[in-house]
Amino acid sequence: MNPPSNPPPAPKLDPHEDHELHDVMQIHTAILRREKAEPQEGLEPMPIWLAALFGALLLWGGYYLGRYNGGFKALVFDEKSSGLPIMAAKPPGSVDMVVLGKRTYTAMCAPCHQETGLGLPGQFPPLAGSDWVNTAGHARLVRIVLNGLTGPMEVNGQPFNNSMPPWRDSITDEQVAAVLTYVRQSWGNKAPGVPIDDVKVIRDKTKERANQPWTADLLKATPESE
Amino acid sequence: MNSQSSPSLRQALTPSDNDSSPERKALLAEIDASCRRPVLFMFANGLLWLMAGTALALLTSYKMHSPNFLADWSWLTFGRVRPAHLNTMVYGFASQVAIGVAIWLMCRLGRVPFMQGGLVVGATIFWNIGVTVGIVGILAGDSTSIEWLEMPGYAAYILFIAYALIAIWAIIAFRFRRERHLYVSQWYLLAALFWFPWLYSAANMMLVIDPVRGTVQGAVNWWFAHNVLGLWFTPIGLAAIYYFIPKVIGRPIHSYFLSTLGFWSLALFYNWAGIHHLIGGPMPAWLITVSVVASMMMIIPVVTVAINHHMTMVGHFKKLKYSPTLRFIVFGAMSYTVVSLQGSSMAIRSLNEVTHFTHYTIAHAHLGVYAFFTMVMFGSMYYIVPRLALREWPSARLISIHFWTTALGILLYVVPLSVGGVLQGLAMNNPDIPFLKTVELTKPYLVTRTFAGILMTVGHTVFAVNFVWILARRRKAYQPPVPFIAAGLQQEAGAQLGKDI
Amino acid sequence: MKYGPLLFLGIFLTLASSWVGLTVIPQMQFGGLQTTKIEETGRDYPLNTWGAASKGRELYRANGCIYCHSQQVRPQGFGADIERGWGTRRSVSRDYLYDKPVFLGTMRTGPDLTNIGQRQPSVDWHLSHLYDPQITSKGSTMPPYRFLFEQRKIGAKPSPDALKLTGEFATPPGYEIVPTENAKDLVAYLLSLRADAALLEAPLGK
Repeated sequence: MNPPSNPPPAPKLDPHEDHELHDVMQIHTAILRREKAEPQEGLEPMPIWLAALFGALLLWGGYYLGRYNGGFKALVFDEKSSGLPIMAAKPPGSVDMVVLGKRTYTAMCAPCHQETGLGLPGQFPPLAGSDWVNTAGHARLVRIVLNGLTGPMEVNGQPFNNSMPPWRDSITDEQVAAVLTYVRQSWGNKAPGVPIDDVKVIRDKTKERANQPWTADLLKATPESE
Repeated sequence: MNSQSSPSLRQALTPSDNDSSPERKALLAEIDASCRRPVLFMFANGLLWLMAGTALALLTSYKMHSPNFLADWSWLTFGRVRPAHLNTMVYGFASQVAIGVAIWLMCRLGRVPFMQGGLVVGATIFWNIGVTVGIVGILAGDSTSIEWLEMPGYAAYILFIAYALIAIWAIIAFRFRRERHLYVSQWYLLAALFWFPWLYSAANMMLVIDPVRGTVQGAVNWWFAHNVLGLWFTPIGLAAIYYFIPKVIGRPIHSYFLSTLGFWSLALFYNWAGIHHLIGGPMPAWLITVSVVASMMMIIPVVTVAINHHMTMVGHFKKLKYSPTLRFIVFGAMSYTVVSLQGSSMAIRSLNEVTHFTHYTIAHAHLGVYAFFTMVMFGSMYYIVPRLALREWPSARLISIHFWTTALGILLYVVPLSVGGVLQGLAMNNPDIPFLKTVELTKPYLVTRTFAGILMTVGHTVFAVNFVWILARRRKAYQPPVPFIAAGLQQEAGAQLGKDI
Repeated sequence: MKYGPLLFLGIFLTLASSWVGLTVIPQMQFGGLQTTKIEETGRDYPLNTWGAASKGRELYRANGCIYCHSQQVRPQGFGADIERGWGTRRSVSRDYLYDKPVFLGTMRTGPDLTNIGQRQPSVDWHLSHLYDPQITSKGSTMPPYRFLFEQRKIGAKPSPDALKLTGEFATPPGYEIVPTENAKDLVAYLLSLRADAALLEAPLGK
């Protein structure tokens, strides 16, 4: 062992432990005696296949970074393009109304009216077998979806007193038609579907109500077919 | 890189004092004595936080499938208990034990006693006050809701100052080392000790003290959070593995060249990988792509380090039977390979589409922080504590229980939860399955996780008991080392044991 | 390796590179992003939260909602976020200009909330759901937030805010469950969550 040129300073041990020093060294030696030398490094060469793997990885990385960098622009979020996205003009008839109706129902309606259409007793009225849903005309239902409904009402003879929010600014005419068609033809309901154009007409007709919800009485006062 | 052509390199890599002379043993004894108070103090506090964090973990896990349990007091609501668990484990347990291990390794490898042990004990008290304040803050409703950085700003200041006061002495030990040759563990330690304060202060500055605007916060958040694992825990864990495998089996590490490549490629790539946590999110495409590439590049250091460790171990696997240190360390080293390759795969966009936002990620995180890092820290403590406490571990049986409960516990945690996570992700990506179904289908896996948690709790308790026991034990002139095998085999293995623990 | 300073230089430069690349450059590139005017409505987007909603935002933060709910919609063709009705377009940086901190979230034990104010605008529903998620969503693992409500004796007149609870959730006779200001603030925040305006960088349906 090469002694260091400057002798190390004496270990600063806790003064309370000084009387133990001799004893401690003796015990410690037992532990240290079986201890192997401090680790050192071998000099095995790097396997060639490893270098090849790394080369391949670097090539892939370069390719991927070059291909999917979005032009390094702040407002490009789609890794496959390098410019701003083009407005997607939906080709007419591309939407499957059945799928749209079910998905809209699950996202917007099911939290209250439940996936089963049964609603929650005393809170949210049922749609399945409901006397409000299984009607010949659908104008009233379109009005409810667009503007919501608040205050006391009766469904299948059961009283409810809650608020349904307006959906006018949240969903499209297509969605209103699709979801109402879904509601009127699920869980044993067998009422006719709702055409998109009818929704448009009623949306225009009720424009001045903005987002003010209906009450049951007001709705009863408007004829079902308008 | 021809091993024959470099006798000077061979000479440079050999420590100048690797003999068993009494002077050298005396130096080691002196180093251990100098580390005794600060390091044991950190370990003891770390274990306290481990127990607290375990309790919080069980509570969190149980609440995930039984949400009504202890739900009526805001302090114990799920959204507070969960970050309290994470922060307890990360800053209370893991970081504190990591610093303790780092200090001891720094001194051992630099052949220099630790200076200012008393001051560091004071700073450690300060650190623990910081953690306490932070956890209470989170439970009281002051969480920042920034993942991995939930502790409120006032706790962050305390932690940072305490850290600076501690780490400076580890770096001073490095600066005034007497062994000029730098062993691979020291590279990792120096890096981690420097990287952590940068990460922590930059993240706090940019997110808590004077927040940047909008989604830049997301980028900073995941640059930080991913690097706490990648540039703080991982290097210290690897430093410990690089030290203890050759130390315990008494054989040089396989290849200096692999060590070098492994270290520099980790330093180069790991810190760029964090934004893969936001794939599909509101981040510019380039930022995510850069992180995906860096994550894949991590295969380089991981495979390199795995080969280096494995080739060192080859022919010595029998020693796992006798050395608790080796057993925990090798378990951790293997987990490191698995979790890192898994992590790289999770950055691939098409796989991430399924695993993102699911329990799969949670399982992955525990595979990293627990199966790799925590197990390595357990192994290190089994080696270090007897040298500082100057006593042998009192109970081999407890060590054995500790190993099997934690090893099986983490497997039972990770494997089912990963399966559940994939199923959850597949269901989530099918819009015709109502969302509530994705919740319900994961419940059995969440219940399994609680059982895994109970197993690990047993392990931690047993370890804590053994730890208190070794400190409380009366010091005798000489105690035979505790054999780490089933009780019946003790005699047979006796001779071996004397050397290998 | 023998040279500490050289080692240190490498350690410094590697982290410096990602600190610059992943935090400083993004800050320079889109840290100064501005609001924009929406053509159809003529209003600025996004709007800052204020009043009750901004108090509710603090409750969202304090109670760790992000650990189960994300606030980011993934693009069409990546996951099924848009098909699930969680948004009409992907989320982009501009949606978060006023958010401190941003609640992007990385977990969906519960559904995404980017557009919860548009998808589920019923105050009654949110209050019932917060009081006990089992009322509206049987089988949910969301914890109840009863500490945001007050159970009290019905006075001379029942409170108009009292929850309408029936069946197994009914309150003892003579008592009512009333949301505290905190509960109302939190719901106000949830109802303010809406990111469905078409943007140049994020047209609807993408």
